[in-house]
Amino acid sequence: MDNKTITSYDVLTGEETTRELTQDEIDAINAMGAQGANNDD
Amino acid sequence: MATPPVFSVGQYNTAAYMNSIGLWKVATATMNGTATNITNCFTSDFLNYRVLVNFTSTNANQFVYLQFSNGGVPDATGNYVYAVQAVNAVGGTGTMVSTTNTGLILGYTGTANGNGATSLDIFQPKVVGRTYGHSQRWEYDSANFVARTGGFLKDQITAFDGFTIGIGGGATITGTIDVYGYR
Repeated sequence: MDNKTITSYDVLTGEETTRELTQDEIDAINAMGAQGANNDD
Repeated sequence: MATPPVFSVGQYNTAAYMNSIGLWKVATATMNGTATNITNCFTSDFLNYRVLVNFTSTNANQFVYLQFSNGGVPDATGNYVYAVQAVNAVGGTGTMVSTTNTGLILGYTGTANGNGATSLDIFQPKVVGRTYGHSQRWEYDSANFVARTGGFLKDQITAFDGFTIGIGGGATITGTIDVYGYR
């Protein structure tokens, strides 16, 4: 498994799960980044 | 008997003493991947929360973000509103703003100096209503050291039980997340 993963921690149960992100999920994250202006430097 | 917060070795701490502690650690997590979710860290026990994130390393110059979540499912509704001012160590300034984004952009990472840190105060995320907060981030991105300070609003009448922090581009980030509840 590569590291394109999401790990979830449940505070109540102590359960920890890790799964790979789908390409659609990665694309959605990247679309979010495209909206964030970064003109500080 | 000593008066809190000055405790003596072996001192019996009453419930009243313990209940007067103002900041209580409710969760800690390790980041090693693209995203990390903490579920059920927001409960009815506390109204407001402090989140401290230490970014240790990354493999790409990318943005880092936060999304609120329920049951481990990040909320990607396009109503994350934020206004952040930035200034870098050589005098450059700028803004980072949105009224419709699907997540809260915290800042950016850099592979050369991938360490960065974020501090957030999140107000009443577990109460059904809009969630306000403020964020501060200090980073060494692809070019310079940058300090960012801003506020955010999740413009949605919803209660959340947790959040996700991650990095863009399918990149990987390592570090730690600590969540504290304000009593």
